[in-house]
Amino acid sequence: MSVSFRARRRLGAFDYEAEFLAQDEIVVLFGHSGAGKSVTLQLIAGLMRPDDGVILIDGRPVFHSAEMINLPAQERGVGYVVQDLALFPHLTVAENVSFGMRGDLSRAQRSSRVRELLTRLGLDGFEGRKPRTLSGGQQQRVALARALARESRVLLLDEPFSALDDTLRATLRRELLRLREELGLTVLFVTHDLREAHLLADKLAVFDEGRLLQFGTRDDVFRRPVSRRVAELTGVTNLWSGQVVAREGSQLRIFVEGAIIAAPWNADSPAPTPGADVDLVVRAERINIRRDYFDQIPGRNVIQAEIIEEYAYGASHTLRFQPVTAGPVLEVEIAARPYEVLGIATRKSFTLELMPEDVHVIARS
Amino acid sequence: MVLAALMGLLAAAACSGSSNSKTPTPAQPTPRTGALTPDTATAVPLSGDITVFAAASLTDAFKEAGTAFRSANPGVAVTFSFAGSSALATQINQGAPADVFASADPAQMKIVADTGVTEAQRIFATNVPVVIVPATGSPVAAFADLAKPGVKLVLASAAVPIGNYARQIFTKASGTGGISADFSAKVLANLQSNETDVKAVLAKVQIGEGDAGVVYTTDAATATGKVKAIAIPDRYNVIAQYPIAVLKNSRHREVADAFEAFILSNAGQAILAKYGFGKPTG
Amino acid sequence: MLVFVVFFVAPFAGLVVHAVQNREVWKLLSAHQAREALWLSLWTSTLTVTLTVLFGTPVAYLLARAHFPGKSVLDAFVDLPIVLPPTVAGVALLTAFGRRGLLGQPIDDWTGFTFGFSTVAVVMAQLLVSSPFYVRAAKSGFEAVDQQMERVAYTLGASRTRTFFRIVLPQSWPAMVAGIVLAWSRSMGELGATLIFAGNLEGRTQTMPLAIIESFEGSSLGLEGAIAESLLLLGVALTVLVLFRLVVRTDTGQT
Repeated sequence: MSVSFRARRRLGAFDYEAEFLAQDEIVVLFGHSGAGKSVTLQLIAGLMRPDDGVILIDGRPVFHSAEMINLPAQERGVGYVVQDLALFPHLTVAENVSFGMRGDLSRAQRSSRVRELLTRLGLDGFEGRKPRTLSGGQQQRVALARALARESRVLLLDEPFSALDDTLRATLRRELLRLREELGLTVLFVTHDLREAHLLADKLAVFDEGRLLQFGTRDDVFRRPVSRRVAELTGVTNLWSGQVVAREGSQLRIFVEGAIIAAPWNADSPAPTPGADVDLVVRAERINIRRDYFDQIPGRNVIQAEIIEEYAYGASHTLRFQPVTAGPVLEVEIAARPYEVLGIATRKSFTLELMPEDVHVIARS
Repeated sequence: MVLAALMGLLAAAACSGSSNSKTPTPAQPTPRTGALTPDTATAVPLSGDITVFAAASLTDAFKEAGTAFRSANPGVAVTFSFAGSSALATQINQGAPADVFASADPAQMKIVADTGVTEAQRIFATNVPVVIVPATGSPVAAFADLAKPGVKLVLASAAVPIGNYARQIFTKASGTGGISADFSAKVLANLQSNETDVKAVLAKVQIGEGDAGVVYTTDAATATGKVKAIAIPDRYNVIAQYPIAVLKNSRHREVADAFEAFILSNAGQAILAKYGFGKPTG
Repeated sequence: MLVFVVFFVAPFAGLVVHAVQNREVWKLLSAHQAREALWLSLWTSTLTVTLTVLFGTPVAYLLARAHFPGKSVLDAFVDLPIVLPPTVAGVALLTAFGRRGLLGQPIDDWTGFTFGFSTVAVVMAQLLVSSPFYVRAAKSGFEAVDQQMERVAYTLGASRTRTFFRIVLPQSWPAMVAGIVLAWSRSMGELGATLIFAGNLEGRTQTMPLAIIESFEGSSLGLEGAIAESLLLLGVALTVLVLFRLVVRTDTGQT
């Protein structure tokens, strides 16, 4: 089940524009509030109309500005779960779930289908309950069941778990992944939580002020952001500005605040010439802290540095290092056990090691 | 504070309510005339407010009379309440604060007089009922046409003087010596509405809702050009007698008496005549 | 507060006390004029309310949901009869639908039908003055329903109509009932517009309020008749109001 999306729309505060293709995967729409993530879902669901564009669901056009096609929401065949769920308070769980089912089903068929869905979502026996008697997590699952009842294989979820506590979210996320496997769904999932985005995403769409800044696999977006802004949004804390001093084959040598960092350049696009300004992106968890002292390591970037700030998050620590001689401040994330093993609590100076492949270069236009 | 206001309201109502709880005003010789008086201003300078309840047909004439009365007596104020005489009679009997009552027929005056609240009454004017029709397009051209089927007739309610007069006229025009035996029945079968006073009848005919109505000639005169008057044959017509009386519990007896006197005076009569009222007979 | 309560209760108590003290009143309760007027009031008010619900509900829904140029103007027009004195409404109806009125004349020329002095006019007068109460109440009721629910219903394949009847209506019907009660009460009590537009004729246009006025002003049954008719109207109104309250309570499951 694929969703092919291209749309533009004037929104008052800014212009919205995005284009991407989702196919049998979970695409996470990520960004700050008001960036355009929910708008995307509404445009696909048919609750808002693009000024211009083409939207295909499984090859079938549901919106096509040139051909004057605009299917109403009723006919688009997508499941939609909103943030506040909007369960129908005056109907029972069974009536909520069966609301979207086709009219030609017999009563027996409907109730067996309802039972099947509820069981699948761990809500056995909840048929007769009213929504207000359910817990937050149970309500969520009813909303999901209701969206799935129409047998649509495209699911649009707008921050469905944001109002729940951590444990519940973890459970529901796992259930979502399971459902995706079992039912072969294409899911468009909106969230502003980076960790949730990383966990669920096959592909990631990063939105900012109405624009889709980057669409790619999760690793692509996290490790190779196309711009400073995407890097900032995806939680990159090591964002350095530098200048290219030399180019050797597919490797660049970049001058950053007094230090020289080596980074590869993929051959797809013309490499920046020496003297060009570039941005470097390094994820905090990719920098390695060595126990022993090393002056140089072949093929690696090595920097001697001292800890200037430290934040203990329990499962991990975030450390900020100042290079001893020259170079940018480096933020490093390290898990609790390695932190202990390295004896970081009692030491200040370390050799930091950074693989060139973990340095992403963004050319400045 | 609300309680005080409410108490004040109740007190005021009580004062104006019952007619026999009031202490009599200090005795003062009041001019009581048995005939029309010359139009000289009274020697005593008058002051005070009075409320005059008058039949709707007296609206224009009494307003002008009120203005003249006020300019002759700068210290007084006159408030009018114009409505169907039956409504006014009911209100007075329920304790409404009227100082003078001018009715369009003796029957309504009697309803008030029977409770003992009025001084002697006097007929001060007469009026003549007339049939009116819209200026154009009415199927009624003569009095007898009122019995034609399909005519939309508008009258005042039977208790309102002009409504009562109209019905009397129709009865007079029925039976032997009348237009037809069942004239009244046929005419009343055309009745579309019982209005609350003569002005409402006039309005309905004027805008063309009614094909015909019965009002006074004085009312028809206020709407010449918009309605046509069709005279009622004399042998069927009745003369409306208008009595006036001062109410015993008036708080400004002198002013009330003076107003009544003014209406009965040459000046007052001239004003009434100007509007088409007839002189009182007998 | 006590003063307020006394102020509201005293008039009704006055009616009842007077009636109890005066035998005449009981006899007059069943007088022909009283019964005619009550029946006329009851069925015209019911018809008016039925028409109001039929035509007013879509208008209320539109005002609650849609955004279009001139919406505030429509809003104001719907509210207008509430602030308008009934006599003004009556005169307005006359100028529009009277025999020589804006629409009344062509209709008369075309079909020979006139509105004035007819029972149709009674219903029209009631409609004009009472339907805004229903539309306002229904509109509030619809606005209180989360629009997200309607949107979700659409994505689940429900048409606007089905969504309205299955999702919006069940959640807003107490407000609609309140509007119905208001509109019905206003219709039952309507006097000024009816008198001016429809006239006053027993059996055809004389509703209960008109009968009471006529009685009070000395015709037919007199003051006692007015009191009897007032009591009748009071009794009927109370009964209906209580009935409606009970209906709303049981269905919303409140005690």
